[in-house]
Amino acid sequence: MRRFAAFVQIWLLWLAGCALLTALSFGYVDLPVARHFWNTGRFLQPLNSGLGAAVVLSCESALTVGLVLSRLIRGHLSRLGTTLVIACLASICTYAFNDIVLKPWFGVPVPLAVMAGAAHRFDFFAGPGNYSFPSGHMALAASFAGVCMSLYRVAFWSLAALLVLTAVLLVVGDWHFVSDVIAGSFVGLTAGLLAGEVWRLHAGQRS
Amino acid sequence: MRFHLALLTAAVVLALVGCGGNPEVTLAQLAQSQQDYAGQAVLTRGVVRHERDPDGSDYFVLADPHGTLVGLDPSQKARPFEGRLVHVSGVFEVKPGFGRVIHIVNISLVLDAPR
Repeated sequence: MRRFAAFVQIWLLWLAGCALLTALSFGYVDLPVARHFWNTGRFLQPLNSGLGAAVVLSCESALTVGLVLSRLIRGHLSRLGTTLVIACLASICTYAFNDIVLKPWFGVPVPLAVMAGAAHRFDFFAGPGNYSFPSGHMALAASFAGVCMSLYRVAFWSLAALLVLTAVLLVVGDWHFVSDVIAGSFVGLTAGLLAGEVWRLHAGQRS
Repeated sequence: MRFHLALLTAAVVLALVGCGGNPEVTLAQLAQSQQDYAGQAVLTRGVVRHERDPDGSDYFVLADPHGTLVGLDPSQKARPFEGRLVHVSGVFEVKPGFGRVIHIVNISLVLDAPR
């Protein structure tokens, strides 16, 4: 119980830090950075076809189905396989929650719309549309990484470096504002670490 | 009532666009005074660019060399001109979550322009 309370306290501190960073970035960093990279980042646009959300989600779904079938046929799944299944499921769920619930809640227009004259501001509880905050790709990647970080502690720093690279690419490629990727990282890591810890508890109880 | 309104709009658009009464504006002018042009028939030129966001949504925009953008609607009319310098006439609008948009009435290649 004490451990749980400590976790909650750390998470609340982390939430406060991310909220502060997001607010500062939204007010002072987002637009100058987006304008700076607007034309220079266009060379990254071809990545859109290969790493679009539909492609990534399809790959994760296929991997999950493949591993579950393997578990059903062979009767067991390796630790790596289990981690991958949990990571894929956690990131698919996080992406869906972010896209369907969080983005319309905040209602921040995408960088393309802002560059075409839309105001860079929160439009809370906006109707259906295409919104930017928090970044769905960042939530997807961070959630996957969070599960792996939780169940493979040795991979922590290499996964953290990959997440930073993802964040930089999303901003430089004109897909997201800096505040989007900060918030997306927070949402994704929260979901991923939580899923990993819940699985650890579940596995501990079984053994 | 709706029919008369449509007739009136068509007449205004034809008068402004078809008869040469509508002077061409640049994308920079549209961007600078977007509220002044909102709801008006405009004639402008730019390169049609295809944009796709990470969630897979497709857009076509009109861009100038300085990166000024105006969205094009509907996409089907803009798609055949991707990468080409075009004249676009239509009704200009500023949508809160989407920015500047031209609802295309007519789109055609700028014939004297190099590809």
